[in-house]
Amino acid sequence: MTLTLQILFDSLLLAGMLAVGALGFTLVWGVLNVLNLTYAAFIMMGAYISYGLWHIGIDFLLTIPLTVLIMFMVGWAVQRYVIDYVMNGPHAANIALTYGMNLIAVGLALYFFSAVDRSILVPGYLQGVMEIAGVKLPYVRIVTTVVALALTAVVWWFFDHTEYGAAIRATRLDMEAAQLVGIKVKTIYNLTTAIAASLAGAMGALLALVFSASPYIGDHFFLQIIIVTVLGGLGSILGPLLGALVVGLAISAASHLAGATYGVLVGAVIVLIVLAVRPSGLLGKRFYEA
Amino acid sequence: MLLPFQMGAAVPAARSPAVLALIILLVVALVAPTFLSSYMLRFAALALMYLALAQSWNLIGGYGGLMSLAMPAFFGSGAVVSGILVNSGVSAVLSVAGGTAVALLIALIIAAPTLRLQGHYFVVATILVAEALRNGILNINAFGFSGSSSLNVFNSVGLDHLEPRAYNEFFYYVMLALAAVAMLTVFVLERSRWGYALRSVRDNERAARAMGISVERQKLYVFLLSAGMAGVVGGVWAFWLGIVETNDAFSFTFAFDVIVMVFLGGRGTLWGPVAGVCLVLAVNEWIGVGFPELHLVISGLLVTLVVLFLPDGLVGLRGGLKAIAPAQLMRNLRRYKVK
Amino acid sequence: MALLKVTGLTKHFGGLKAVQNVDFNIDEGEIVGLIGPNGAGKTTFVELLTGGHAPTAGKIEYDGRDVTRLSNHERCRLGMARTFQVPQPFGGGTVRDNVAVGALFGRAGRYLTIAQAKEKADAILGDVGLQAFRDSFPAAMTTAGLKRLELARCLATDANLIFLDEPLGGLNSTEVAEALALIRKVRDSGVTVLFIEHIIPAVLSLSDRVVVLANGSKLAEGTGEQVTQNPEVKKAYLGDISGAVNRYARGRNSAVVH
Repeated sequence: MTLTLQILFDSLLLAGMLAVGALGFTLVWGVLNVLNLTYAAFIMMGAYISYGLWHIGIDFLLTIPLTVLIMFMVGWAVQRYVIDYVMNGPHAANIALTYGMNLIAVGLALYFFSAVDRSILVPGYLQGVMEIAGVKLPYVRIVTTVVALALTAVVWWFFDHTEYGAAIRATRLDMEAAQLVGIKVKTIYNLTTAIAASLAGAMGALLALVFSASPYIGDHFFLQIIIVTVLGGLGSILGPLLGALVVGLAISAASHLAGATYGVLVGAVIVLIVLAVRPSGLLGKRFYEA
Repeated sequence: MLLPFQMGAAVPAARSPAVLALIILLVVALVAPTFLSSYMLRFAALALMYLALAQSWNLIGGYGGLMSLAMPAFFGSGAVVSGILVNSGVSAVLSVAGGTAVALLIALIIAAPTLRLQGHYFVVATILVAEALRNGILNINAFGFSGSSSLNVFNSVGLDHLEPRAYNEFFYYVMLALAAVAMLTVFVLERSRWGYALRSVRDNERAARAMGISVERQKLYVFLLSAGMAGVVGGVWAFWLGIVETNDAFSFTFAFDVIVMVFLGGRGTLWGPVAGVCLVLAVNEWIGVGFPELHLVISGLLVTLVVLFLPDGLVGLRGGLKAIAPAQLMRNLRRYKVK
Repeated sequence: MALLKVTGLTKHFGGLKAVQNVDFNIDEGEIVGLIGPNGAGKTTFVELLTGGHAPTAGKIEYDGRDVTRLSNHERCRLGMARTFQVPQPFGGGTVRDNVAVGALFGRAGRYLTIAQAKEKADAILGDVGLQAFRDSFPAAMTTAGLKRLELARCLATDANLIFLDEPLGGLNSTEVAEALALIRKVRDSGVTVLFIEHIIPAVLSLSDRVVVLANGSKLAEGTGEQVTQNPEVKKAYLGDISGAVNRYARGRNSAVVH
């Protein structure tokens, strides 16, 4: 029983972080139809930025909004000045391009920061563990999950209650129609990638605390994000959340019961099975067929 | 993106310049070892291996238009299974055959559900298959085989009596054979009905169906062919290295390197992969010597610049130096820009 | 002798009844025009006939053979070819290559070599008037040219029955006239044609027989005159104002209501 609860709890924590990361990735895939491999680099940058800010004395929780802001600008710039040029091209082009940029980013990180893991030390007010029914709940992880869910809620609110959110949703549903009503698709693209990068950065910041910042951190979690995204489908905000829960659960259970590598295996197999049965994911709508 | 059908049917095959070039290259390659230093020999063998892999991906990614990232699955299973077989006493040749067979089997199993996925879903599914397989094998611990530890095959292959130079020469020739077969396959593809069918599927599935082409079968065939080729190369690579490390065999680095080479050189062309392999390996050598840490950065920069400015790859330079005139480069840049 | 015989063809997409219980024949050598208001199910109907969708119910017989379960490409190899409303060329090949594909994989293509297919393509391109564009790429062609290319591709498959989906869309009046002449030429060479169109005068002048679809069902069938006089048809197109329009038309001595 304790094990089950522990598994459940751990999966919730993992799910929270994956949800934030997947949300951003889903956005870019769903709205721009771009498989943005640079997303991994965004996560990594978020981790390093947060670490850097913390290193110069800023409180960890404060680094999060700062990281989000910085990554917002980075995302906008990357979309506007680079990805923009392959938007109308074949799929392979945007995959290759974003892959190239990811390489550059990881390479630069390796060069400047070397492969040493840099961890943000848990601040005093977050140290300690809560125990409920024999399950260990480190305060750190609780706060992390809360932050992740809060961000998701903000994004949800943004899409539901603001004009920009509506515009993004419109573009996603029908680009031509959106243009006809005066929505500037280019701005939407820039905005979407910017938001996505912010979310990636936030995930990175959380990772820097819970794990550590390293050049490969983005790449490491990227596969799990892909799994969550596909599982959840591209049509909704809820999708990635659901996907994250399922994946979090699967990975957590598998890790506890059998070992870490089984976790990813189980996740991947689940997604493949889902795709075989429902080619657009669990909650996905078939907006983008190609 | 315009990828030329490139039919040379106006000129009888025997007299076509491509055939001549291929023959000359083959002859040069056959005699090359006599002139190469040991280091260059190994380098050349590696290049030939990459060429074989590049053409195998060119088939599915270039001519087939399917951005498959499943290569690690096939290359890796080829390597691992060949290793297991040869250590169990099976002859080297049969072991590679066995490894290839397993790679083909895996391809067959995942083909149906994967190939009907559209767009990025397909790409993602191939990534997941490769990753699932890698993790799966890492976890295997049965019949004396442990996926997480390295498999030593050097002694079982039967070539351990050779001096290093002769050893490398042997594998040079094997890789040459594989590369030659790969080049020949693409050459034949370009000039055959099959090539027309495949490229039609790539260019417009709907229209291909309406014109009497079975899209499903074309995708399946090229997928299997590509998988089989990767499997063979994987097996030979494992024997050459003498040791099979699951994580290396299933690593995406190989796949991405190969894809980058094909992109750089020109997808969907016969000579593109040749140019791409040469360029990437040359750059790697140069960076490796001068700027070891910036390896990734320079590779990434290369890919980025080529995708932005030379989307058709180096073979686009065939049009002469005006293909890289600044004005043309800027035109290329803007070709796929958001309006 | 009915080349194509359709009985009880039905297609439901979930709750949407796109095509309902349509019976329909085409005889060899006919040109049949298929008209109907937007959303009537015309394109779905053609998709069903060519194999793009599997019918929910009904039977399709081609040349006496049940083809209901056959796929697109199998039907093409039997001699049924189609063009697309929005031209779908193979972008990576020249115009000649495009037509050669039809020759290679259509009804008579099994044993053709590439060289032979290209020769055939050149001949057909000459017939449809595209010989000047043999080596051009589809990206460089006008809509009219692309529509001809679609037709040429079909002809290359040696089809007996060709479905044209809005072949006149996007053409100016000169191009329309040329297209009509070309379609007649195709029929005269022994090919049966079914085409969907919205330009009523063109349909009337080209078709031997007109079939009207509305809301997924066959509303009327007959010669152009019969169909346009049919009050049901007028109502389907024009709704309740048809009465007023009729009075107006009668007043102006016009026999046909557009």
